[in-house]
Amino acid sequence: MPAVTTQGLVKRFRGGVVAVDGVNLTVEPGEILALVGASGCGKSTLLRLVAGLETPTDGRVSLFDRPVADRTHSVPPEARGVGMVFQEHALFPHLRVAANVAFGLRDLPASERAQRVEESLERVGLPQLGGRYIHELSGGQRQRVALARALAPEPRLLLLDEPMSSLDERLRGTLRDDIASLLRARQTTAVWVTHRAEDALAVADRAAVLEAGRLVQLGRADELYRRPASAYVARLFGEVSQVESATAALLAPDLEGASAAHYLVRPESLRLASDGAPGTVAHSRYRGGSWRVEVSLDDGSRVLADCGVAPVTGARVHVRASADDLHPVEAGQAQGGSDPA
Amino acid sequence: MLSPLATLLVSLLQPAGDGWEHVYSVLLWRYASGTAAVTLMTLAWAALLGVIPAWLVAAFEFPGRRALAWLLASPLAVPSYIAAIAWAGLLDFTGPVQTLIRSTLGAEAALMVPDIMTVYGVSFVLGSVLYPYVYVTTRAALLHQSSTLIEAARCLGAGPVATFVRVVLPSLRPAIVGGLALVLMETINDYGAVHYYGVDTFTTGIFRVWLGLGDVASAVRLAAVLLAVTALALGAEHWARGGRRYDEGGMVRPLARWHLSGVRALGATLLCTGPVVAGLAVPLAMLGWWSWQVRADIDLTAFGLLSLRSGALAALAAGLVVGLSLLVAYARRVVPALTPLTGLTGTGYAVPGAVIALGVFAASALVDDGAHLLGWVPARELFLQGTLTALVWAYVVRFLAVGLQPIEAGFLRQGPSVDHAARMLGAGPLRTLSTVHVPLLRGALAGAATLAFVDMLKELPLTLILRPFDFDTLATHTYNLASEEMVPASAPGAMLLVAFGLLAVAIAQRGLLREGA
Repeated sequence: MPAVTTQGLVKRFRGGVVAVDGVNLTVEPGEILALVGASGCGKSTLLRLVAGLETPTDGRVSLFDRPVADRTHSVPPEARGVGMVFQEHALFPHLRVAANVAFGLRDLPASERAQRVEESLERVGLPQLGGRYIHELSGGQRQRVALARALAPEPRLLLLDEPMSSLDERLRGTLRDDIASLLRARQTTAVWVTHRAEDALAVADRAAVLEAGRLVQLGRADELYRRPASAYVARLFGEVSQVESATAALLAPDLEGASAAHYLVRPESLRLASDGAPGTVAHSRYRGGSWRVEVSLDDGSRVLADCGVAPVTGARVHVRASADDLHPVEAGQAQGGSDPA
Repeated sequence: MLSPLATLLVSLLQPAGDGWEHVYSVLLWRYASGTAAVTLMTLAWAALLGVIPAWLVAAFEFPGRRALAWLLASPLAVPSYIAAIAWAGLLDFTGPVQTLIRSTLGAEAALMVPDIMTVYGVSFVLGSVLYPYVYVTTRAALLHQSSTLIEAARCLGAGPVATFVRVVLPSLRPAIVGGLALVLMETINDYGAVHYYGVDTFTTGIFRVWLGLGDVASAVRLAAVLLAVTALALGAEHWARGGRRYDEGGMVRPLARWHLSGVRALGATLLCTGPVVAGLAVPLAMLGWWSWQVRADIDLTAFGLLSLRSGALAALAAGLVVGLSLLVAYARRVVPALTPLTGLTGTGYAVPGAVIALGVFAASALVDDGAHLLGWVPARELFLQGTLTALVWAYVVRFLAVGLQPIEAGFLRQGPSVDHAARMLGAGPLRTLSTVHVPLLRGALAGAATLAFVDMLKELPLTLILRPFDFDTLATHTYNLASEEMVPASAPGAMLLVAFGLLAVAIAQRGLLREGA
């Protein structure tokens, strides 16, 4: 029994913008699925359709085999039993922390409710803060309270909409891992919207990539990284160089009949060697442990390669790759060359 | 700016006259209970008429919504004494309602029409022109309200009604209380409406004791009590919302409006039309009807002269208010340490007009005494007291906040980097003000000037007391005619005042919507 199923889901806003365009997606129970994509790709709208905060223009949504939305009917969000963590926390400023967490626990008797609030706050590492007001909390604490509030009613499905976008880099990492281990310990299914592929790689079982409202790739996060279906997906997950087939043949002489028009290759799969494609070092930057070198190849294309020693700008080099690391993409999806450093 | 109030407080130290015994034992209680009754009932009316339409207009879509959203703020244009005169005229023995009932249902039925000239009636009338303060602040808060909070409540299992009660209403509380605070100040300040309806309050009491009984010392004591009560009320308001900050920052996703249809849509339209009828349509209709009756008697020359004189006086004072506000706000920006002091200069708006009038009267008497002593002015000749200068002084003290607020808001919109850039390019503070800030603040300055102009044009209690002998403004002319039972003759002037008021409302609303967008 899948936790979430969407079939042919479409959302067209007034004014004609199609935010979600025929998405078929299945989320298995207990898994953490990351929804990834550039801003404006429709990932938040898809999440809101699942939550019931938007009604679909067409298509269907089911939660645990229960149909909750189609073209004519939509179960309101309060009747779906789904938890949500919002980007801007959305904590109630007029209530204390404990009352915020208790907001969704109306049906419990008072004693049980108090106990549940205490447990929830303890679980997110804030056992002492029940009496505070929201404005007395730091950004990271607010996010933890928002999580505690969403999880307190013990929903089977939790939706997270860019939950860490307002936090700084250091906090982000620890909080992300805390959330993930909490979800796994309780076997809560989660759909996690993020524009940072890094988050998806770190916590998600699978990731779904949206581009212009369409689902373009779905799979394990490391698969998406290593075998992106398009340049769009590849760039979401990190820097990548795109070369034409002739250049690809130079980079990897063992490449079997370079059939695709374009190939993608990650910097760490390219190395400076004694043979391969000849070029000149145009620019390099140290990234701790290695240098990322931009090489201007003699055929006019540019690639990024990682290198363990400091390269000299202007030096003549050769760039090599193994055929396995070159991923063919269809010509139609190719846009532009490599990401300039 | 503060000298009138300071003079008042100092003069409290002087021994009270014989009159104070009488005032204290007989009148004080009557004034206190009258003020309390009018204020509480007016606040209730204002909350009722202000909050519900604000919520309807912000959260639902129904026929006439856009027009009503604007119109609901428009009763602010109607001075309370004009609304009071109009409502009394509508319901009195010779008014259209009783006349109509007598001619159709008979004289008996006409007796059923309630007497509006009571403490209940005046509260309703005040509520119907003052509710826009609550409406405007509540609506602004709703415009800024992120729908995310509502969505969060619904994801946690609260239905639409529970969401309104548990989340929306509490989050609106600071806005509602803030609007009610303005209603409170205006109600306490009101002279025309309560006096016309024969209700005793502190403000009418100060006038009676001072001008009627000639007992300045007792009037000063009444003013001090009133000042203390106002300060207490505003302190309570500050305390009520002081503890918590409600802004959570972050993105604001505006409310999506629900479409209403059928009976519900009609109900919403009617609920929003009611306050507009009470606060704007009734006064306008009555003024129009009376003006039509006296159309032959209007002396255009006299009327034009009167308007010109009032306009010139208000324009002069408005110019002073804007200039001073600009300096005060800029001083605060350049030297932040001045903030507490400059904050005090804006408190005049919270001080009832009658109190300011007394203060300016007392302070200008001191100045005159000084001038006599120094021999600058021949004895017996008044240098300041009873002159237009004293009146303008009082206007500026009372209405400085009207100019200060939009100008400070305008300054806040300009980041400090603007100043830094100008200073780094070699412009001193004054050149920065004149070449950078003033051009950037054009809109705010014009808005502040208009609001101050209209407020002073319709100002009544200060003008009644401090105007030079035989000097009339549109407001005093209108009010005096009406209280001398020549109501129809007062209507054309009242119409003009309301027209200017509508202009001010239009400007204020434009600013509000721009900030809300």
